[in-house]
Amino acid sequence: MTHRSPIRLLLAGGLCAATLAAFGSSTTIAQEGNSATGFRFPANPGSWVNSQPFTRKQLEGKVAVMVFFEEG
Amino acid sequence: MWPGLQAVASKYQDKPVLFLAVNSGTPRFEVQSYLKKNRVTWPAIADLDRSFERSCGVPPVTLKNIYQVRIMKPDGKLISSSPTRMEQALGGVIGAAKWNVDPVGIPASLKTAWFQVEFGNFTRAATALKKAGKSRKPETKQGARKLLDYVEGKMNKQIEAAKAAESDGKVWQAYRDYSDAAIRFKGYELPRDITATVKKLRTDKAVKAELTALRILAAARKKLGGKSVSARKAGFRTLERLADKQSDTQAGQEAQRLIDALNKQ
Repeated sequence: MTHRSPIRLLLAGGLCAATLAAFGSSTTIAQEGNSATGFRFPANPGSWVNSQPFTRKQLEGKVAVMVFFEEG
Repeated sequence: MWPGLQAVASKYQDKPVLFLAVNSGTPRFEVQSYLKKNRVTWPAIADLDRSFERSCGVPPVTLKNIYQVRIMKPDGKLISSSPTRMEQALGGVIGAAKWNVDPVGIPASLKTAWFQVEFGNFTRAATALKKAGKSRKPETKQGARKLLDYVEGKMNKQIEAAKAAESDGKVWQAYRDYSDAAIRFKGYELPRDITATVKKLRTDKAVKAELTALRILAAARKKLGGKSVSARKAGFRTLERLADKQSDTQAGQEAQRLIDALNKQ
């Protein structure tokens, strides 16, 4: 199996960092997979403010209200 | 807008609902500063690359489209809403939500520990529960017992699953379950032999291969996060080798997913 190195990846470190952040830490053993509805909370503590990362598993049976906002 | 949103949140403070703020496209330190200025103490996600926003099916949040609301129902499905309709939407789904441990009867002194247990942060609650379990106050002792029963039930279930995997010859799964239990339930009365079992499983050939692959993946990720192009190239090549040669390992499969994600960028 061969893969072509993405050119933009090599030029822009930010893209790489963003993808790595979205995937979380590789040194921990992931217990939570993508659910049927496809979204996963960021696993990287650096993406969270006021809290440690939450997982879908932690919120099972509960409601989560997510307010997406742009800095006003 | 935030005072209104927070007023709704305070109405639901005793209900099994978590309010999260998600900022799109802004560095974490700016998000932190903005939240502090607006006195928002909710857990928040700094979604710099907007990947979380996309995965939730939210159209790009911009200054012309400042707020979007998504509500995750107890079954894990998402529904769309808006700040003005949020309370009504919430009222329609909250009835199906439940606490793992009913807060009725939990004394105020154990509310923090209860919240930590409720959201699976068992280790953080361990010391408080141990102390409360020895309290002279009956309500404190009973509250602690209620929470400890729940945590111990979860712990025993996970250890039983690990034992079953071990009996079925699924050593990597057993190793993961035991190791995870040792971390998640640190501070509780774990079986005394768990450390020895983890140590023994670590000598298994399949577990060794998985752990080696995980180390290679960690090294590749470190290089991919490097500042130089050559470091990132080397990291990508390491990922390719891992996905090719160790495709039967969990890390090999993770490497392939990472390659696919990077190729989509």
